[in-house]
Parts: sequence; structure tokens; C-alpha cells
Amino acid sequence: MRYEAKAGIGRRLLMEENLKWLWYAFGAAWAIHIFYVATISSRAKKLREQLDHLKALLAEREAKTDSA
Amino acid sequence: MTTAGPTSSPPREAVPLPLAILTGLMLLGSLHLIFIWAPSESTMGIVQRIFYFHMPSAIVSWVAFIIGGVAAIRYLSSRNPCLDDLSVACNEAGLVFCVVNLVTGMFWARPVWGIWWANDPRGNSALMMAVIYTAYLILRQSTTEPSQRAVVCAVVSILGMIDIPIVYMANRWWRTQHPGPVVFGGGLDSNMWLVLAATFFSLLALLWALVRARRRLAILQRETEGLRRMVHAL
Repeated sequence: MRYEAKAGIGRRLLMEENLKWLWYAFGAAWAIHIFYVATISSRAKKLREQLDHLKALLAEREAKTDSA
Repeated sequence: MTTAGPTSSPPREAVPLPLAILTGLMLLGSLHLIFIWAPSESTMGIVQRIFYFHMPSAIVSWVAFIIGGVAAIRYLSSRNPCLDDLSVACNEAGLVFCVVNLVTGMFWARPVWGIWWANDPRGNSALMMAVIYTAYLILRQSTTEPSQRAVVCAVVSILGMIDIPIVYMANRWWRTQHPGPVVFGGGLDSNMWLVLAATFFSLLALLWALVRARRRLAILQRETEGLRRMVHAL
């Protein structure tokens, strides 16, 4: 009876230990995906800013060339 | 020599709302199946559920690398920059899934095998794949001339595909710590098959969304480079 109780506690501890690794694995997987989505959106934002800046610069230079 | 001008404009939104909602719902559904519905494996217990994310991530990365490689082959014959955009989008998104596969594998190996890394042919060839595609991205960053960059990267992308059959066959060709064929070897319960298929299709939808977003970024980058050249020319 006492042996079975000990075995039950052992099983529960093992289950808790395994659950910890399961959460780590899924947490890491989602963290990687979320990090990637965040980098895509920050790179897109930076590129849009560059694009706007270049468009303004191009318009300015074209205006200068026309006036010259 | 420069690449031809952009032949497509960036999509207005990276991921259309219906696709984002569908992907989200599919991922939530697969998480429900993994954590609530799937039966526990008799030997490993609850930690075996990592398998439902570990293995589909690997297959989804192979799908991405194959699409990226085929786009690279087609780019070399047509020199259409849109195909280079698709290739880089697939390869970068594929690398993300490849890294997820490696990381989840390590978190599974630690409690089951007692080690983080088994140093076996399957793991090592999968790691090699991640190294090849990381090198691809580094090469892409370091080459500034667009058409030269696209050609060199297309060659690396095609070479990278060679590793896919090696990773797949590793546990058949060599003695590995990984088990023999489980999924197509008849060693999987029908309920486990269902959860595996559901997770695979939801990760495939996620890949689709990520590729779309990354492809838009590549188009924006190409437009920026073209405009920069025009500004310098004036």
C-alpha cells in the first residue's frame, strides 16, 4: 500500500517534470514565430520610411533639374 | 547589370484578414487537439505531445525550401525578379520552421534521452540545413548588386534542397538516436494521425501567411533599391 502511494507520487512528479518541458518547447516555438513576425513588421516599417524619403528626394531633384 | 524593374507592386496588406483569421483559428484548433484531445503516449507520457509540433515544423520547412528552390530554378531560366522574391520569402520562412523543429527537438530530447543534443545523423543533417539557409541569408545581405545577388542566392537555394532527402532518409540509412519511420511506418495511432495532420495543415497556413508578408517586404526592398539608383543617377 505504502509502495503504491510512493509510486503514485513518483508518477505525479514525473508528469509535472514532463509538463515543464512541454511548456518550454511550445513557449520557445511560439516565441520564435512571434519574434519573426515582429522583425518582418519592423523591417517593412523601416523600408516604407526609406521609400517615402527617397520619393521626396527624387521629386526635389527632378524639380531642380527642371528649373535649371 | 541590374535586375528588371519591378513587375508587381507590393500587396496593400501583408496578410489578408480572412487568411489571418483562418490561420489563427486553425492554430487554436490544433493546440486544442494537442493539449486536450490527443491521447497520451504510453512510454513517454505527456512530453510526447511535443511531437505534434516538432515533426510538422520539419515538413513545413521542407515544403518552404522546395518551393524556394523551384522558384530559384525558374528565376535562373526567366530572370523574373518576382521569382527571386518568392524564393527568399520561402527560404527565410522555412528557416524559421527549421529552427522551431531543432529547438522543440532539443526540449523533447532533454527529458526523454537525458541529453540536449544526440549528435546523430538526423539531428546533424537538420542542423546542417539550418546552417545552409542561414548562410543563404548572410550571402543575401552581403551582396549589394541585385541581379548578382539573385543568381548567387538561387544557386545556394538549389544546393540547399539536396539536404532535404538526406534529413528524411537519415534514420533509414544510418543508425540514429531518432526512432525508425513512425508516421509512414504504421506506428501511429489513428487519433494521433488526426492531430498530426491538423497541426501540419495549420502550420502550412501559417507558412503561407509568413511567405506573403516576407514577399511584400522583398518587393518593397526592390522598389527602394530601384529608387535609390534613380536618385544617385540624377
